[in-house]
Amino acid sequence: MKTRSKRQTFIWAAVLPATILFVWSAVSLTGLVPPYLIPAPLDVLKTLFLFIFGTQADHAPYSGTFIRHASASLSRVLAGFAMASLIGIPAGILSGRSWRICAVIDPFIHLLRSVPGIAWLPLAMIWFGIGNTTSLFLIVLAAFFPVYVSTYEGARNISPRWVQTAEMLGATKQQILMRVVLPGAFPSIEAGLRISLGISWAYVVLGELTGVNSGLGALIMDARMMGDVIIVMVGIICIALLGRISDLLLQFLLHRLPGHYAGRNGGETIL
Amino acid sequence: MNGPDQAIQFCEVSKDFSNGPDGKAPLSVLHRLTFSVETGEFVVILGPSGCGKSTILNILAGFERQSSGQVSVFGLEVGRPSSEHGMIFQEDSLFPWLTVKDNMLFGPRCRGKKPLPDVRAYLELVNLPGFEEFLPHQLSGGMKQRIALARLLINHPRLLLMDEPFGALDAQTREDVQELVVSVQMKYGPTVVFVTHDVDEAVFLADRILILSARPARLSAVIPVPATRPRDARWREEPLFHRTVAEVRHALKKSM
Repeated sequence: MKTRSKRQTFIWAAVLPATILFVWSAVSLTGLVPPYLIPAPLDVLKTLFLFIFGTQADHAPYSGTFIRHASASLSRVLAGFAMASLIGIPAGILSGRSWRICAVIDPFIHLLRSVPGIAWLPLAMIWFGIGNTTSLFLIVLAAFFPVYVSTYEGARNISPRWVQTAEMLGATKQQILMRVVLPGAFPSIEAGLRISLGISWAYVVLGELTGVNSGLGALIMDARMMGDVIIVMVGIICIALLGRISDLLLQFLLHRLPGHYAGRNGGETIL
Repeated sequence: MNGPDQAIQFCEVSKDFSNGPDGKAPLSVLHRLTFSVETGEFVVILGPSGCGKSTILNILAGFERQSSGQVSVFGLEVGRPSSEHGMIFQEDSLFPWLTVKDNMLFGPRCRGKKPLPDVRAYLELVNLPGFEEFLPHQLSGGMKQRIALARLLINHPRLLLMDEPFGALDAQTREDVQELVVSVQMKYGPTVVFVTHDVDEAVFLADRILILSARPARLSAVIPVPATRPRDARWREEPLFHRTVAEVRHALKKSM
């Protein structure tokens, strides 16, 4: 096992962003690419600051609207992600441990899964119009599959020993599902949830591009029409940061669940 | 034949697996095997590896069903697995997400037992007092097997099935847990069926040793172990122990 300090990890984590920032600055300072395509990093930073902390008095068109847009997107993400998880985890557990349920739902789910999420957009707009419901529909649909598939795999692959042990200790089938399969599949479920949360952010933006009033996707689309590349970039940065923060928060919460089980590997690395 | 003293009746039991090694011919694991075990007896099943020893335990536990023949445990046909017939597996079967205490209370909780039994008493019984809040990955192999034993004993099984439970342990730990099993059996008196391929272990533990032939398993010899109980580490030093070991080795060789 390789040992490493927090500081070392942090330094390595900073390498890639620092490089990108350096190249970006160089490109914009030399004037190789005009600023309406790639604006200066400092301008983006200033606008980002105003976007978050500014007020209407700053006379910048989007100043101070961060909370409105971010909370609109965040609430859609949370609602869609929660619904996808609440359907996906039970469906995956049942399908992974019951051949009948698997026979009924699994082939159909994989048929639906092969349709790219974006192909649902026109249908969603016909059914639900433009707005919250369309966004929510797209998120739930897209975020469901990773949760389902990874829960299914996790439920299938738990040690047969554990199931036999539970039977022999007197557990009923329902108790085995809740007390053995669910916690035993947890490492897989966690992976599925993290992927799904990321996908939820992707699809909230897709849903918002169709012309809702608020949300980071709506902001980006609006700014594009105004030719404001800086705000487009600010929107992208905000989505990246919120996505990352929500992922960290999700892990933080999951690791505090009672009976959290991180799998057999304690995070050892070989390189 | 089916008297009250019979804990286990295995009568003309065969077991075939439909998927043999070549995928076509069925694999016959047990062939018309007949034996019985008395209540409170400690029986060790010895045989070459792959001869179907584990299959016998799986049938007794209710994990598998025989292809033909009758199996009864305490006068009843074996149905689903139950906490009356506890099994200890070769590898650790502790739930890694539960503490030692929650692992031990898994059975009583599932069966809605109230009040819950006293975990501490059972941890003391297996010489691991104070380990309630440990997680399985913090324990050594020998400790895990002792916890697995305590987790069964807390349910007071009438029949204890042990499938090479100490096969993965080092020699010293192995002798320690063997002595522990002897003392536990003295205290609770369950009927024990213990599978191993270690002759010393068999002679140390057993009242009676059943020697099986290579697959499909038939009973090739039954050797009573003359030592009285209680036994302790000194039993290993006695000439009778070594004579019995030699006798068992000889019978085992003949069975192959």
